[in-house]
Amino acid sequence: MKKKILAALLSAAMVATLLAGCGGGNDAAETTTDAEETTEAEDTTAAEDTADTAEDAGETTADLSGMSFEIVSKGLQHQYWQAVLNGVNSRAEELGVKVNFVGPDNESNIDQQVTQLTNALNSNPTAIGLAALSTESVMKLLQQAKESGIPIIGFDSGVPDAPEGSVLANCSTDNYAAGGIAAENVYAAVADRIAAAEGTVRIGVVAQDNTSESVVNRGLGFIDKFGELAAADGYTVSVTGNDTYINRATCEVSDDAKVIIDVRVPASVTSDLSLADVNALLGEEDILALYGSNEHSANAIISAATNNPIIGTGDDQVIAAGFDSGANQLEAVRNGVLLGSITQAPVAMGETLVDLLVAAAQGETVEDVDTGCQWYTAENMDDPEIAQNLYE
Amino acid sequence: MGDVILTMKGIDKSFPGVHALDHVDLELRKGEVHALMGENGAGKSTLMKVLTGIYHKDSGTITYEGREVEFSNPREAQDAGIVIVHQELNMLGHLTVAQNIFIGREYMKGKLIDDKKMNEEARKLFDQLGIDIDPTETMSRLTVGKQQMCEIAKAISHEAKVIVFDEPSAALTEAEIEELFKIIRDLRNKQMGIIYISHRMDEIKVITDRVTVMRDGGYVGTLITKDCTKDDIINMMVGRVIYEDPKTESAVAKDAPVVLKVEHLNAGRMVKDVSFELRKGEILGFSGLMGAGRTETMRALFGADPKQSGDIYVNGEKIEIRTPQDAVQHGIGYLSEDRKRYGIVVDKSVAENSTMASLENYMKGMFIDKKKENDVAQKYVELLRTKTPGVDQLVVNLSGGNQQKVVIAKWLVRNCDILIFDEPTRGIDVGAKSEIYQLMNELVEEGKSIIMVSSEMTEILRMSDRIVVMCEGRKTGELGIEEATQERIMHAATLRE
Amino acid sequence: MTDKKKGNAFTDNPLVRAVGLQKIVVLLVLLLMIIFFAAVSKTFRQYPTILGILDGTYYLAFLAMGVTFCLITGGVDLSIGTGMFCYALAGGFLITHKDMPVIVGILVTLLCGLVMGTINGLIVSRGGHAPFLATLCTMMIVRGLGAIITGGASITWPSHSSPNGWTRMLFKLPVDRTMYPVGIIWVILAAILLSIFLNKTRPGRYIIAIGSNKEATRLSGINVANYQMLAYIISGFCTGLAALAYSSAYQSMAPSGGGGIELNAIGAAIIGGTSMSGGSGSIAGTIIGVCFMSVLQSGLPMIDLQANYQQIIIGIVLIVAVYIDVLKNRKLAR
Repeated sequence: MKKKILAALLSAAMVATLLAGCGGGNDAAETTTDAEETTEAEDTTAAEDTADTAEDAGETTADLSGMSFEIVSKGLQHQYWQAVLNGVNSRAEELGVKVNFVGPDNESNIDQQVTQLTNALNSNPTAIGLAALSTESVMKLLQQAKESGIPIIGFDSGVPDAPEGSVLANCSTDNYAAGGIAAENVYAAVADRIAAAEGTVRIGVVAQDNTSESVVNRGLGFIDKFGELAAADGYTVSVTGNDTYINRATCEVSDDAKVIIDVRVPASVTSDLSLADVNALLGEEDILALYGSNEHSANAIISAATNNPIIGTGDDQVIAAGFDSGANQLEAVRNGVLLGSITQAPVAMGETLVDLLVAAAQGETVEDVDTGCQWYTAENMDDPEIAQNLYE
Repeated sequence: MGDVILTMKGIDKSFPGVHALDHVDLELRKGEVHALMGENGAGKSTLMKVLTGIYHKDSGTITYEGREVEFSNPREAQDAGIVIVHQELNMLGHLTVAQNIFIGREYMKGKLIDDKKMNEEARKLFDQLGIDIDPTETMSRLTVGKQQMCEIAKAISHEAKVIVFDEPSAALTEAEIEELFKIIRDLRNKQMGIIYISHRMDEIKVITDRVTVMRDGGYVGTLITKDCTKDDIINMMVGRVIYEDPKTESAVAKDAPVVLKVEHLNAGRMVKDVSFELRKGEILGFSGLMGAGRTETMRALFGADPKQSGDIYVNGEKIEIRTPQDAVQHGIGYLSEDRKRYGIVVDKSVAENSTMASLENYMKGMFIDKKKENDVAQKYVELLRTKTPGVDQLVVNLSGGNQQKVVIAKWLVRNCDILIFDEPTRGIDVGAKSEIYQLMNELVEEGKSIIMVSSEMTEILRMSDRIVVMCEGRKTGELGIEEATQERIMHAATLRE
Repeated sequence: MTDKKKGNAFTDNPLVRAVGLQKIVVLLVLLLMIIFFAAVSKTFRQYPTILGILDGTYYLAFLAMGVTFCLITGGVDLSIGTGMFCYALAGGFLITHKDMPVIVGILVTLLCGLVMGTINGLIVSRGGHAPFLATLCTMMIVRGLGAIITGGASITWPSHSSPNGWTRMLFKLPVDRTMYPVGIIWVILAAILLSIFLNKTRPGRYIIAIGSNKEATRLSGINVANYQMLAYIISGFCTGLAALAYSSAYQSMAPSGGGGIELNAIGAAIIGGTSMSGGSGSIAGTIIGVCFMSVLQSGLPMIDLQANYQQIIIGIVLIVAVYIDVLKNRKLAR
C-alpha cells in the first residue's frame, strides 16, 4: 500500500512538474542565471545626463562625511554582486561616505531580504539602495521609507512596478540596448557574407527562455537592431521560431526574406536541451551566425563548438557571440571560438548607485541611469576598463 | 512414531500486561504429525516463535535431539533443522521459484550466483516431493497452492528434522490440500517431526497422530487423535459443543421474491457469462476451487472491478453499477475476503468503522456527530454481540471474528439488504465462526439476502439454501441444498471446458 | 488447475519472457523514433548532433542506472539531480580555485557521491525514513552545499585545450579536430558490471528480494538494512560518475542547479521497465529508457517543434510509462 502511495505521489510529482512548465529545479536554475544578469525590463529609458549627475555629486564634496547609506542587494555570494560591491566601495571611499552593503543568502530568500530592509530602515540611513527580490513583500516598507523621508534608489533589477514616487530612480543595464550592441558587432562581421550569399542567410538566436524580461529584451534588442541594419543595406528580414520573440520583435519583416532570424528556446533550462537547439540551428544550411543571450545559452554554443568545429571566427565558420562572462566564455572569446561577448558593467553600476544615493540625499532630482555595457573580444578583454567587469 | 525429537517443558513467556504462555508443554516424536490447536490468541503462534528463536522464553526448557537448546534467531533454528512454513506466504513474487527456495544461501560459482545449479537442486527437491513445478518460473505466476508447495520445498531443503506448518491449508482448495497431505505423510514416513497448526477440525482427524490443545496461553492437554472425537477437541478448546451438521432443506419459500438478478456478467478473464438469482431471505452459496472466479464475480457485481457486459436487476429493476458507490446506493454490501486490506480500517475505532459507509447520515452540519455515531455503533455492538471494551476501541485490537462483525455492522448501518460475504470465516477461530453463522441466519430471518462465497465445503453445505458452483470463470452448476453433496459440488467445480 | 496463470502465446514465448516484453516494445519504439527523426530532420542525422545526443546520454545513463537500484528496493533517490551538480561543483572548485591536481578533483567528486549515498542509505535503512522524504531532504541539503562550497559562483571545469583538459577526453577524444564519443565505452562497461552485480551476485539478488517482499527477505536471515543501504550507496557513486560525465559534456554548472534531472533519470528507468513499487527492473532496460529519453529530448527541437509542445510530448510519454507500471502491478496483485 505504501508503495502504491509513493508511486502515486511520484507520478503526480512528475506530471505536475511537466505540466507546471519547467519544473522546480529549473526555477532554481533561472534564479541562478539571473544572478549574473542585471534584469530590468521596464526601465529602458536611459538617462541622458549620467555624467552630469555624477559630476554634480562629485563636486559637492563639502559635507558628505555624515552620510550613511544602506544597500540591500539580491545576494552577496555571486561574483557579479561582488563586482557591484567593489564599485560601491571604491566610490564611497572616494566620497568619504559610509556604506553598509547586505544581501540574502540566495535569490529565493525573500524573507531574509525583507528583514534586512527592515533593519536598514530602522538604522535611519541617509538613503537606501535596493534590488528587490519581490516588490510585493517590500511594499509596506517602501511606504514607511517614504513617510520617514528616506529616499530609495533602485539598482540592478531595481524595484519593478514600485508605486509612483517610492523609488526615486534606478541604475541598471539596458538589456535591450545591450542586445543591440551585440547585433551591431555580429552584423559587421557577417555583412560581407550576407552580400555574397546567393540564397537566404540565417542568424540563430539561442535564448534560455521566453519568460524572463531581461532575457527576452536581450534577444529582442539583438533581433530589432540586426533587422534594422539589414534593412538599411536593402535586405528583407523575417523572424521565425519562438512565438514570443516573433510577436514582440519590432523590426520590419517580410515573407521570403533574405535574412532569417531564427529564435530557439528550449523546453526547459537544461544544458542538453539548449545544446540540441544549437545543433538544430547548425543543421540549417544557410546558418551564418549565432547569438547566445545569456551565460547559459552562450555555454550551449561553446559546448556545441567542441562537438562541431564549424563554430569559430574563421572565414568559413559560423560566427558566434555571447552575453555575460564566466570562465567558459572568457576562454572561448580568448580562443576565438566566440567572436565576442557583451559584459554588463557591475563596477560602474556600483559607482553610479553611490552617486545617485548622494544626489538623492541632497535633495537633487535624480533620473534613471543606464550603467552601460561593453562588447569585449579577444583583443580588448585585457583592458583594465573592461577586465574589471569580467569575472570567472 | 519414533523417538522423541523435541520437548518443550514449562515454557513461560510474558509481555507487558499479557501472560502469553503459562507453563506450556509440548512433545514431538520423529515420524509424527502433531496438531497444535487452540482458538486465536491461545498462544500457538507465540509458542512457535519461542521455539524458532523469534521470541525468548522467560523460563522453561527446550530439548532438541537430546540437548537443551535456545535459539537466538530463526536462522539458528533453521541451521539446527527446525523450520517453519508460515501462514502468510513469505514469497518473493518477482524472483523465480529456485531463487526463492535458496534465498539467503545461494549456490555460488566464485563470486557469482550459480542459478543453473540452483535450478537443478530445486528440481531434485520437487522430484523428491513428487510435485511438478518449473524452478525457473517466476513465483508470482504460480497459484497459491503451488506457492505453498515451494515454501515446503524450501523448508525441506534446509535438511529439516522438525517442520512447523502454521495454518498451511487456509488458502488452499480441497484438491491442493489433498496434495499437501500426501507430502506431509511422505515427510512423516521419512521420520521427520511435524507440528501442524490448523483451525479445520476435519483435517486434524485426517492427518495428525496426536493433538495438543492450548487455551488462553495455557496447556490443556494432549490426546491421541484417533482415540478422540471432534467434539472432544473442541470441548478442550472452548469448553462447549458447537459443531453443527449440514443443512438439509432450504428455509426460503418457493415464491420468495427475487431481490437480485445477474445476467450474462463478463469481466476480465475470470468472469465469463455468469448468471444467477438471489431470493429474499436466502443464503446463496458460491462454491468452487481457488481461482474459479467467484471473488472476481462479486467484485465485478459490486463495481470494484470493471465489467465488460452484463445486466443487473435489483428488485426487478435494471440498474447500472460502475463503482462500489453505485452498488452501496442500491443496498448491496460487500464483505471482502481480505478484511485487513479491503474491509476495515484497522487503526480506526469500532464506531468510526461502523459508520464509514454511511457517514452522510451522521453529520451535524460540516462535522461528524460523534454521539450519534457512538450510539449506532453501540447498538450494533450489542446486536452482533461484538466483543469489544467499547465503541472507541481501535479495531486492530479486536480478534478476527470480532473484526468481521464490525464489517457486518458497517453494512447493516448502511441498511444494505443484499450482503455479499466473501470467505466470511477465513482465519477466524471455531467459536467465533459459529457466532458468525448464527448471525448470518438471523440476518436472513430478518429478510436480508446473503451471497456467501466460501472455499470450505462444510461451510457451504451447512449454511447455503442454494449453491452456485463455478469453475474457471464460468458457472458450472446450481444445486438446491436438498440435492447437494460434496461429490456433486466437486464434480461441478472441476467441469473444465 | 493449471500450473501458471494464463498469458497469451506471445508473452509466454521464452525469448520474450527472458528479455521482457516492455524492453522489446520500448526498443522498437525507440528505433521507430530514430527513423522518424532521421527522416524528417537532416540535422538529426549529422555527426555533431549525434555527439550532442550522446553528451546528454552519458550522465543520464549513470544517474538512471544508480537510481534503478533504489527503485528496485522499492525506494527512490531524489537527490541525484542536484547531487550531480553539487559533486561536480565541489570537484571543479578544487581544480579551478584551489589549484589541486585534476585527479584530486575527480576523486573528490566521486567521494562526495559515495558519502552522500551512504548518508541517504543510513537515513532510509537505519532511520527508517520513507525514501521519498529522506532523499527529498538530502536533495535540499546538497543544493545548499553546492552553493556554499563555491561561494555561490558557477564552476567551469578545465576545457579540452587546457593542460588539465584530459578529464573531458575521458568522454570525448579529439583526433584531428574530430571528436570521438569514447564515453560510450564507460557507459557500456558500467552497464555490464552493474548488470552482473544486480543479477548474478548475492547483494544484487537481495536488493531485488527486498523490493519484492522486505519481510520475507528479513525472515530468510538476510540483513535487509545493509542491502537497502547498499542500493543508495550505488546510487550515490553513480551520481558521482554522472557528475564527471556532465562536467565533461557541458563543462560549467551553476550552484543549486540540477533539479528536475532526477525525474528524467527516474522516468528513463521506468520507461525501461523498472517498477516504481520495487522488485523488478534491469540495467539493460534502464539503458534503453535513457536512450529513449535523450533521443526524444534532442529530437523534438530538430523537427522544429516549439518548446511548449516538447514538454507536452515528454509529459505524455512519462504518464504512459508510469501507467504501464501501474497496470503491471495491478496484474501482479491479482
